[in-house]
Amino acid sequence: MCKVEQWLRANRRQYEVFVQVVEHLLASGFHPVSTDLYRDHAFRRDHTEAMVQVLGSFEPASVPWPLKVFSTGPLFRAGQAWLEAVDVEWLGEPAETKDADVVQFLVDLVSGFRLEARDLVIVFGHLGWLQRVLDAKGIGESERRQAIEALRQGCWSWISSHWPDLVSLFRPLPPSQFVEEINRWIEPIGLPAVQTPWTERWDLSLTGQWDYYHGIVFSLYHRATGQALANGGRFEMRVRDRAIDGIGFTLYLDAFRAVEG
Amino acid sequence: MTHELTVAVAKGRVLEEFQNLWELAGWPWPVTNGRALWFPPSSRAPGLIIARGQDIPMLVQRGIAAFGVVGRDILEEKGAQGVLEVLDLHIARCHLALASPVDHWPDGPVRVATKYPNIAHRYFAERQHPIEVVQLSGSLELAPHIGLAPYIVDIVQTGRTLSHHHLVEVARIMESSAWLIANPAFWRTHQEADVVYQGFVAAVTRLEEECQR
Repeated sequence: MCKVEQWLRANRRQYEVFVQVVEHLLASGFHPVSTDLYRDHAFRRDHTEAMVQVLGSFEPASVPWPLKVFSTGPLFRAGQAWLEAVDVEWLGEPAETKDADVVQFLVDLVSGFRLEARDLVIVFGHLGWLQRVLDAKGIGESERRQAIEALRQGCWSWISSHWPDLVSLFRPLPPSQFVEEINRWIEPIGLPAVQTPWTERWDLSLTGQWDYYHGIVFSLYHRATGQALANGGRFEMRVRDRAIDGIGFTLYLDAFRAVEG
Repeated sequence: MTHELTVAVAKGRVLEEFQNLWELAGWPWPVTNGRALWFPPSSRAPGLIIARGQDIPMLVQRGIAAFGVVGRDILEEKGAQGVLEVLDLHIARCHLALASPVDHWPDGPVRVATKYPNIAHRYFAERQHPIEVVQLSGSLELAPHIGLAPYIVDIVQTGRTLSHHHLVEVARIMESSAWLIANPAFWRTHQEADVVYQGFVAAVTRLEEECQR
């Protein structure tokens, strides 16, 4: 196959991946929401916040919460390539939407791709449990905030240098080992009843990139690449003095195409 | 064990001290003719990529290398989005300084020559002191003497280069040393990542013990 054919085929596959995801979402009752690529003198870096702002602009009583919505298009990352992404969200009354159901939806969506389950690893973190562990250790509010911000910025060594006795909770552990470790610090917790065909790990250093996350967060990785296929979690945002909560995830289409190929 | 992961190391002052650390971790340093820049992972050691310091965070962020070794100065200047800073290797220690032929803080708005425009801007902004940054890629010490800028912000290791060029350190801006950074996906999905990390932890401990003797 000559180079141009390879190139055209790769482009075609990228479009097929996009269509496959969108068809799955439409068939599952999700509504598309358009968000601006450029707004307030900045390129779009996140669909979630943009979708929440658009939907938050309607009269609250007129919105049929909860909503299942998605948005598509590239995301800007300074100094990096643009990321083609599809953002999938359950908005409003998400307490009714179980963490496990959202992960199950991700499993169903990803199972439509030509990927080997043994190559996939889903890593979970939990901002709520992280706060409780730090609280149980007697760490004050200000230092807790500093630690979480450090983890968001990628400063993993903050934990190892400040609280070496907590390090084991900040490395990827199998679920049973994680429960054993975390229960040494806080009252017994139960993990969401997630059934995935993938390797599952828990790691409190995973906090999600955005400061609106407050509960479970997760990243889906392929072992062969250094890229996340999906990132997501439970969040709360304030729009016009009203709290809107939700849970969802972002799929990175280029990363999917790369591992399929 | 058969290694699969690769470490990208910054050329220059970091690389000079890194070889010792690598060997203390138990991995043989690759035999090189001095020109080879890539050594794939083998049964004896993780792979090695030798690259420019400012490219290391990008190589790790994109998953070309699972780990990177780069100066704190570069992480602060270029940012380290999408990577994890996991260990201070305590090698290639130096500091970033404001220097000038005259030993006093700039009087009023001033021009500063540097390879670190972001750090310089942040440092002076925090002190609410107006500056104009002239970005250079080398030979900063000349800038005050050829009329380009009366002050420079540059890396200082021993201070000899500054004194050789009749410059004095006016202020210490930040400490720097080489850091181990990691790609989050490899860090969280490969058991070997922990092996490599523990290898470096042990090597740093041994190096510090050697220094204390």
